[in-house]
Amino acid sequence: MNQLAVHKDDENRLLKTKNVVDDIVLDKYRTAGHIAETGMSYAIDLINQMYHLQSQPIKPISQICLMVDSLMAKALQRVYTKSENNISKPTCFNVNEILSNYSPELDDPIEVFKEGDVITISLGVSVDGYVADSSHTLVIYPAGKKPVGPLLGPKADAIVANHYIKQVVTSLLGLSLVPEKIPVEIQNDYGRQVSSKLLKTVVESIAEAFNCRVVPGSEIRVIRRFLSGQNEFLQEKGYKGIKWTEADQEALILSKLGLEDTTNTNIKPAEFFVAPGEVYQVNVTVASIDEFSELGLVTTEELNKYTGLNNKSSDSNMNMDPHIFVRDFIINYHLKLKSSRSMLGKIDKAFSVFPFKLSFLSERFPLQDNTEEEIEAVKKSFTESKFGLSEVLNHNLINGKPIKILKYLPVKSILGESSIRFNDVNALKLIKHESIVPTKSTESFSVVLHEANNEVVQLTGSQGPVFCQSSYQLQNVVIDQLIRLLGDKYGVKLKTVRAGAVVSDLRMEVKMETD
Amino acid sequence: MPSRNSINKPKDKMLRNSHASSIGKKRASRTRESTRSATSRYNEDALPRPSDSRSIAVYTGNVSNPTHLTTNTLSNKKAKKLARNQKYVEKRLQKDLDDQMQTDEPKPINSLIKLKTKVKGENSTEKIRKALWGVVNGNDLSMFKVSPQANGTTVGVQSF
Repeated sequence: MNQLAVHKDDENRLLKTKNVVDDIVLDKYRTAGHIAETGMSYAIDLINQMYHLQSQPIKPISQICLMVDSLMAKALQRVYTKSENNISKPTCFNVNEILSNYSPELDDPIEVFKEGDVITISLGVSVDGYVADSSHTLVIYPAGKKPVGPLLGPKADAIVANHYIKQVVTSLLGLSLVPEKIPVEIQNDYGRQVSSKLLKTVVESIAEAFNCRVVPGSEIRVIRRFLSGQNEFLQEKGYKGIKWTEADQEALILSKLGLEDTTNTNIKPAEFFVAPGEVYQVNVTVASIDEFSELGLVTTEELNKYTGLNNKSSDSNMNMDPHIFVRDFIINYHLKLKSSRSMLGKIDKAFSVFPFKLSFLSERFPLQDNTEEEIEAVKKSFTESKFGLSEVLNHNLINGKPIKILKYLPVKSILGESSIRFNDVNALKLIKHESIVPTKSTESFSVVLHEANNEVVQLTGSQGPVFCQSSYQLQNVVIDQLIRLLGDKYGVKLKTVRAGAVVSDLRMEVKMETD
Repeated sequence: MPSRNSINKPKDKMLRNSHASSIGKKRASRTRESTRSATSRYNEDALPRPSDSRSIAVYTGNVSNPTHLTTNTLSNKKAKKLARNQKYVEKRLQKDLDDQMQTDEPKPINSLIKLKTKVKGENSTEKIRKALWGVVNGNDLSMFKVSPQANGTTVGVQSF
């Protein structure tokens, strides 16, 4: 891993002064949140109209992605015109076992959703480097005016668990603004503070109550200007956050047996306290393990064109090559081909440190009217950009974000190896023992802990869960109490950024509202 | 290419090559042995000079990477050898410890600490393996199962 070093006084300006949440910064965050929320509600509307209400012909997933991105890109052109506004996360539709980064291009095989598919819509925007990301999980019900009944089974368990996690995490983060209201039961040795350990324990216990596991890679982290974890290939200086790994599930299993793995030499991340004035991004995926009779761990696997073929849960012919790319500014190389050079110039200018798709490079992006002719023009531009892409990609000037899927690995096969620790065993050897986890739910949202007003501003994630019923139930009094504190007059003050109206196809009104 | 002695020798090319290699050597030596003074821009205490570059530079120092995965594999032979030697080392240390207990003679502290941690670590690893095998073989998953509740939980609203 590489790391960027910045001059001391620049570092102070970039990392400290520029990250103080004052009125202007808060407004930028809220604008970003507003646009992301509108994009999300537009995407949900499109799914509802195409699949549930059937008032629109069904379009391929690739085209829906492009439409939502166009909507957000056009809105970004109209706010804070002097600053650098970007899409911080191209719209992804992660279907069933796919965990992240599935955002097909127009020239990929045509894919549509099926009834019963669990879809996670994932997107995000940045206004002047201040990022608001959002993910929401939906289910394709049978067509009709309304759902005939609630969704049941493991899929519902994961969605319900994530719904509670979303509320409780917001509440806990908000309690850092009003520490006097932290319930006595969860006060720790340090007194009235919200610690990372507390956040982690609460999230894990909710997941467990619904027979789910927190998927490795889930994160609760502080975001700063231009630093929202959009580039996993770089190590970030001053990272503050919780990131789940397989070792956490291992610890969970051992704690049930009354044991503790004292030999684990992996350095544990430093514990931290949530401080007012910070901006948090929460991205938690839970997967139900209801259908597995064996004891095991939920893990992830990165796919590519070749391994992707072996991992098809259905008869689809999805393209599992990376669709989303991100620039690596550390690498310097003089490209040989003229087309690659011009492509790199375009990338540096247009996307800076944020991820992008090939269709964003087209001159017809963002789409204006969503006509057939425009779609064809974007498709045509791929020939040119793909020509330049290979050289840029081969020299690591940009990195492709691999598509990840969820897998379940039985403990038995790990025990068969020489080491019990997941991090130590050769994961490649174990792949043959893994099976696909088809039920997951991802929710991600950003919150600003606004110190001046003593309130939590929830930038994204105002969507409620889909209609579903789990056979499990929360039985923890403290968690109930935390949920009740949220938005209560005597609890944590909460303001939510609402989605704007989409005036006509691909056009939105930028007018902010919070409540 | 014409030779060095020919009438149309590639003079320009040769000069360029030799120049390039000489400045290349200089550059390499500069990066190899740092010639920066104590008050360079990388010295955290130093105030920035007006002439200092403000551009972003590549950091070449050590980066701690706790989640490092090794790609080295032990050969069977080597692994056996290590395991065997470890056994002897432990036996010897245990003997030393026993001797020390009896004679109460001061021993180098290092060796004692090493022994203690070693024994503790191995025991716990074995214990964990044993416990996990027990669960896996006996299929006693009751403690890992959550039982459904009569009421369950319903969320969301019945509309699109």
